[in-house]
Amino acid sequence: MLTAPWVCRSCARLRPLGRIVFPTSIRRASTAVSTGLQPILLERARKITAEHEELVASLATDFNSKTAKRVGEISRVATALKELEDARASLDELKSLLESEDAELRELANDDLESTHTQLVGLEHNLTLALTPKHPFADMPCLVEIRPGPGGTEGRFFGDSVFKMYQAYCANKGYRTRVVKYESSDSEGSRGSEGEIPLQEAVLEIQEPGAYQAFRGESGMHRVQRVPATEKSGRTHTSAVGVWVLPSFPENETSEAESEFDNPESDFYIDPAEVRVETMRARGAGGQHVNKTESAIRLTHIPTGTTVSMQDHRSQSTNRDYAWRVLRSRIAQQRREEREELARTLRNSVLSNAQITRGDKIRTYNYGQDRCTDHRSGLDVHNLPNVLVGGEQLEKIIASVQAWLTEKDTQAVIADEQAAADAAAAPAGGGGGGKRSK
Amino acid sequence: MPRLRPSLFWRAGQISPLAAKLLRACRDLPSSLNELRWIREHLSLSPLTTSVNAENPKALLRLQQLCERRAKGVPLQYVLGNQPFGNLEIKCRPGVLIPRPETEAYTVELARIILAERRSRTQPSSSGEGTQQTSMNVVDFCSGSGCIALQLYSSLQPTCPSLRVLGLDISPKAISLARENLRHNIHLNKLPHHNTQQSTHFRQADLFSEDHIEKTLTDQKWDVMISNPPYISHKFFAQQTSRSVRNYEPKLALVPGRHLQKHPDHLGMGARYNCAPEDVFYARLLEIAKTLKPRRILLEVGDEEQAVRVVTIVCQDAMLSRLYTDVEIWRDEPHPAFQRRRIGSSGVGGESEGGPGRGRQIRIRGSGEGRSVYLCQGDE
Repeated sequence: MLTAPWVCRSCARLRPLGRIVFPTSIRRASTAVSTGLQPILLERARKITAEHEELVASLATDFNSKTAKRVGEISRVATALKELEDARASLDELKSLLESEDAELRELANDDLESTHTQLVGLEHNLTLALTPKHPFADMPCLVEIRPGPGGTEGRFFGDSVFKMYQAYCANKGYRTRVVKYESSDSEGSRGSEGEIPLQEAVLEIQEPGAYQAFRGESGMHRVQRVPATEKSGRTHTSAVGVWVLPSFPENETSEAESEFDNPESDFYIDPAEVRVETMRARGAGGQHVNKTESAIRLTHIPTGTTVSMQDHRSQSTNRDYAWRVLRSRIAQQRREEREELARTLRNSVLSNAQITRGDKIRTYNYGQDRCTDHRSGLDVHNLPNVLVGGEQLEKIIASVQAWLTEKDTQAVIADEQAAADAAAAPAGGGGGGKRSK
Repeated sequence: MPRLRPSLFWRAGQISPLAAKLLRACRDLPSSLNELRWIREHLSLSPLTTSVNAENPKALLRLQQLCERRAKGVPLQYVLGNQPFGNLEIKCRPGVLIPRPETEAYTVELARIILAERRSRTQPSSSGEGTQQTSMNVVDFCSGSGCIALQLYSSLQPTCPSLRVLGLDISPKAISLARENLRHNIHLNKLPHHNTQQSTHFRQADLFSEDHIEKTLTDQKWDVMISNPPYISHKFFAQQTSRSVRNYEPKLALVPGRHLQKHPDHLGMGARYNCAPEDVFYARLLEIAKTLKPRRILLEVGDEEQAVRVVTIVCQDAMLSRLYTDVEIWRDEPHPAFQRRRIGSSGVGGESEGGPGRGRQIRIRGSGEGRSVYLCQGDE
């Protein structure tokens, strides 16, 4: 008879430890890494606060709209830092109380310590956010362009699904939208399994201010994996749809917008001489000889080769206005991307490897597994139909991407600060001031 | 008309049977799909047929009817009853010419030029004299649906405190439609209500009758004269116009009558205009220009050759060539700044020997086919 029950070797080895540790499985699909408050950021916040105080003092004596604007921009940092420092001061006070003779007082301080600590973490996060520069287009409405990737009809059908998804999402959230362009490819007369048309290109304008910030994470290749309606042997196909989010100008603020258009410094400025305008009316006699309803218009920005063609509306002037709008937005986005690219190459950190560029897939819609995965935030949601009708699952994904974007921006700020500090510390670096992305 | 391939009809039928039907008039798949969409959009605007689907048989029937009419070759503008023009909506009805996109392009460009000049004139001397030159009178001969007159009124109205636009046409149908268009666009809030200083009027008048013109025009100074007269020759009407133009649009607005050249009654019996029969309206309009002396003239023409002929009429007349120092030919797309090139009078044609010794400089602007002739008085 055995005195002890049989125990397998691995359990026997664990037994002396007294507990079993299960490896917690963490999905590492995301590139996001959480960071505490870096000393370098604190340094920067102090600098900005000093500048803030100086500027406020100068504003008291003579008013200058430029200064006032700057004060408005950096006051967020100043308040966040002040709150943080207050919290730190109270923490120190509590710590000193802990060493006091009075037992009752010690107990009270101990109670408070916990809450102050959590508060401190929140405030540190706030300060990081405040230090993260706002995207220059953040307050603008946006244009969402949807273009199927190379490949057959399947991608075109899914392009239509994506367009409908964003349209429904905006309707659910109560955003005002307008279909600027919705063009099917004419060569194919077929319909998808859910009545989708083969999309050539679609442009959806979301007219709410701030829509650019809300949707800019949607830019990139959206991949679909499903069995197409045309597939006989039931194989899953993979195709992709490109979604580009461009800044656009609010319509009613024409005076401001026009001044932006005429200002050569602005990203939205386009020299009319660099644009070739073509009305697509090629054949023979015009004027009174024919009465065709061709109102199509094509703009070509010669230096970049960007073309926009528009033929959705009966009115030629509407087509022209929309075409100019889309062209301006595309050029502005290109210029912005070029600058960001430049800033990225200046930054000597691992971050540059983690960037998502235009060609990378950002999200997968898998019909077979009823799953939608965002490859940046690493979030998996099931219930794909809900995503495709723009329901709360899509909202969840978009929110996770927003969080990821903020995280990424914060890291960029830290990296820049680090680079600036290194440059300042190195004697050979000389006048290497803070090179920040604009 | 070349025969269409059956496969095209089959492909269109796959999308919608109505698209296949429209193919008969549209002749290609993209434009028939576009027109089908526009017909649907048009139906969705009217309250009875807001949703065109299976639950609304009335709307489906209406859709069927409209496509049927369009398939017969009736211009879409007559089927739907309107055509966007600039920022206005112009009603269209059989018997009145449909506004063309080229007309829209040069009208908008003319308005832009006038506004740009006003701005540059008023800015340097904003204190005194700038405010005196604010009155503006525009006359539109052969106004048809009124599109040019109304579009100019709409563009100039915000900056010209005193503005009068007059449209003249011989056809009573056109005059009543133009007046209706004025009311319609005011109703749509696309045009402001009239006031004592700003107004648009349409009046029936025969361009070739001296008393009509004298009665209506000579009491006033006119700044702008614009016209889209009939300019197609009988030959081109038979050969070059599209079927829907020939069968459904008024010939009165397209082809100058044969009788016009022979009997300009104010010139006396036996006198006649010394020009091609299709250019007779330009001869008459330039004759009127000699008495009215408007600062700017814009005349739509059929092609570049006709434009050159009109320029030649101007060059050969001593008074006109002295008055109008800026002569330009605008193409379909008169873009403001680029693709502007200068050619000498020898380039226009050897027949312009009327300009004694002077090499007449005319500019050809934009891209496409020659579309209009623009004359402007130089600054004294």
